[in-house]
Amino acid sequence: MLLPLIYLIIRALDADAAAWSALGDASSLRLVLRTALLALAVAGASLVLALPMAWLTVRTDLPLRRLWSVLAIVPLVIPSYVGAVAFIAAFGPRGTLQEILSPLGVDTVPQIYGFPGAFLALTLFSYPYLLLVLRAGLRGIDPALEDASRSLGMGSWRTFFRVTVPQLRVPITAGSLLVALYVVSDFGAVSLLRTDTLTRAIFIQYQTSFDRAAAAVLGLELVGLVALILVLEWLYRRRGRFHGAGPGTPGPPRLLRLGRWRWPALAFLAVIVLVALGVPVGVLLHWLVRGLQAGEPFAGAWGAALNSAWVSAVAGLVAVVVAIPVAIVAVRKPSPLAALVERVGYTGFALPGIVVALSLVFFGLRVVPAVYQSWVLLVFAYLVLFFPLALGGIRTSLVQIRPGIEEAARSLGGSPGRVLATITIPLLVPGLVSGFALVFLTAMKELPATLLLAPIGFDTLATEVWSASSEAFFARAAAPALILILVAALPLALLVAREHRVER
Amino acid sequence: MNTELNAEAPAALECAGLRKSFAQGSAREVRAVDDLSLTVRSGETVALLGPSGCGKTTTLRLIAGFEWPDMGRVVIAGREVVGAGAFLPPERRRVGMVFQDYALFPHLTVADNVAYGLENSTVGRWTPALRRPLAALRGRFRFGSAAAAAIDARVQEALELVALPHVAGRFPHELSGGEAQRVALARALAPGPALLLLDEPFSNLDAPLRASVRSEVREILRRASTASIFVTHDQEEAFAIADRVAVQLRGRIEQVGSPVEIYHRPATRSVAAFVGEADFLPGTLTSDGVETEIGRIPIEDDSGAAAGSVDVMLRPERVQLAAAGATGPGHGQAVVERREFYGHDQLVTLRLDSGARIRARLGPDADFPPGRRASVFATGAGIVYPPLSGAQGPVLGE
Repeated sequence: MLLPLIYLIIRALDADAAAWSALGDASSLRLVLRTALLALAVAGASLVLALPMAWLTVRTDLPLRRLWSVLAIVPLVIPSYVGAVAFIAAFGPRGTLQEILSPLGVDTVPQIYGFPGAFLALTLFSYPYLLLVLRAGLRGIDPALEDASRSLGMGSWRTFFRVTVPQLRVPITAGSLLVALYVVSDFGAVSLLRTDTLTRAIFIQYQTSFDRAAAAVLGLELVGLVALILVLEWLYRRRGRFHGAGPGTPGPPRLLRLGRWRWPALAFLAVIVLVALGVPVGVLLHWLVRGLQAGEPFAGAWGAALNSAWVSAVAGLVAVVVAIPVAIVAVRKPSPLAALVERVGYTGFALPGIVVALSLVFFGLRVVPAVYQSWVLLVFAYLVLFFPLALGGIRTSLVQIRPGIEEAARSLGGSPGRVLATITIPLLVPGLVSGFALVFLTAMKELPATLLLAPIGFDTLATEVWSASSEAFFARAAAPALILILVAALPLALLVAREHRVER
Repeated sequence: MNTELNAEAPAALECAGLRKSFAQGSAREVRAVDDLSLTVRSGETVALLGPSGCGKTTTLRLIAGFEWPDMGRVVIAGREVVGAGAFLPPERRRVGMVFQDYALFPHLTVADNVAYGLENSTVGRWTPALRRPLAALRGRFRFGSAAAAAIDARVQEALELVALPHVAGRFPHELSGGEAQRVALARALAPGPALLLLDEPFSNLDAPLRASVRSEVREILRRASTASIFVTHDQEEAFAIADRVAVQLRGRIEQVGSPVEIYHRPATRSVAAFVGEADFLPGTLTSDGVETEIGRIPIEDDSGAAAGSVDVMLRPERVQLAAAGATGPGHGQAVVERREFYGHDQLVTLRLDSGARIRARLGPDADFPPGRRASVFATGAGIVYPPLSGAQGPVLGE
């Protein structure tokens, strides 16, 4: 799991003095600053959107509250590059908006490419992360505190700002950092919207110049930025402990009556959902229909879907098989070594896909040319990136199996192997299934690793969307993009279904 | 008691010098089991009684093989399972265990749960989870004919022992608490263990159910005539089921004896205070009893205490009250401080004129409200202990 990071450092050390000195020059600094600024701006805008949305859907008598809660979260499932494609197809040159406007004599539409476009697209597809965290945070607040504030003579608005929001400090910072992390590692949206950030610069450096060591140096810069964000997150979490909820089980939250304020509230939610969900899906459907009418062949999309599916399935299987022993050792036989192995297993969470891919390209070329340009390396990249998902799922299941069950089997004469085969693994099945599904579905969506590591001629859904939209063939991008949205929606649907089962 | 019948057979369990510490070497080191020795005779039921955190569950886990002792040896049915350099894994110890939360396998039926311990030497050993789907496929699945039939018969027998043959096809979540308890017992007994361990077996049952399940379990253990140890913090439970009770305090076994011995002749002050209610009055030991504030109290012959200053232990039911001012041999004067009325009896706390406190258990009709003065006297014999060093006043038991 650490191999990509180690190899990246090795390669960066190979870089000549010029590449290293470029680290400090103005253009490189601008790149880092622009990336950080984008992350900051998206995190801030996401907070502005998510905080009122969370409050409206959790704590007020908003009409159709349940429906809005789901609709507001759903944009989460749109991969950023699919969203970007949809925005370009809608608002870009030769896009839907221009088509609608041209009969009216309007020939130019505002530029969608560049920083503002990336800011808009990333905000609309990453605010749901913050929304999820804030909703959980709002639910965790003991309503008795708000009752206490009201009984001390505070109105409901002053109570909200002086009691509720301060208690959300930890979810707000944790959620914002999550969004920032997502933005910094994002490759698809910024590249399609032609915004120069670190990930895009790495890709261009890799594609166009022979000096790939310079790409490695940029990659390390990106890892540094991610590490900085993780450290910030860690610092806040540590401080957050002192602000945790008090003892006692929170009762059901009191719902605030919105009265006539419910109309602006509904309009606010409707606009966001329309832009973040309605526009992408609508535009893609529109292009799909147009493509069908124009006789666009869809055989390509199905071939790509098949390729995506089997590579992702292999990655899912391998991840689950490797995760079983790691989870069992970490949970049942805790030791410093087991903890270390488990931590290392989670590195994939912190490494941007483009960095892992870049490093494995170097590694494949130099060390194991036999697997370079083969699906083996691609599966390995998926494994590095998504192993934490498998490990997390299996770990959760394992923790729920009381050790007493296994001890009972031992005391009845079962050998350790028999207990594993007849008791532990059968009881782990839900965790194995969910771990596999998560890796499978996430790997289907992965763009940069697939782009860099897929063998030549091996098209997947992600690369298909990429190549079609970078040449503005929106009709050809529509089918794979819609399939990807469906694929990405599945885990959310499963999650919601399971929550319902748990509640019953 | 079965103990005399089986005097010739080897002991079901012998523990000698067992020791187990947690967080060893650190400042938080806890000695959970400290130099513990215990013998369980064949067919005997022993209760391991102690407050929570006294190390009784650790003791059980050391015997079962889920923990490694730091020191000491364990011999089960004549075979050393832990000793110098030897450690037999739990599956080879022939020890059955009933867990506090029963630990029934949730993915297996009751019959498959009970069969689990019987399948170690047959074809089916790796496949209990597969058996049901296969059986559904073939209509009726038999893996290994004679062996399978023997297992089925043994499962049936074990479930009949606990009077639950009709739940064989159910899954654990379809059982009531009492049924799950008895299935866990049947599962542990089915392979014919040399020793049965029960960890707080009744703590997950609610009070009304507990009494009936307790007597059922006692009956099952008697019929199975398997030696057993059960861990409990409830003295009533220990006294009701066990042939002998071992009181474990702070990792050490302080006394082993019949329930009557433990209650009436506690070996130490701590045992006296833990088992039932006990008050200690200071007094002077002479050749014919102890002189105390409430008169002369005869002592048990075998107290063996040296003459001089002692504390005498009195159970509340041995303390009686009379109307204030009544004098006579052995009457002390006191004021009633508190009364707890339970219905079938009541517990009255008194402050003697010396300041010492003592409790009396009275019948439901006695009328001594708080604030009233009363005369106090003791009936029966007391047990004497050396006075607490440095303690000035008398000690109110827990």
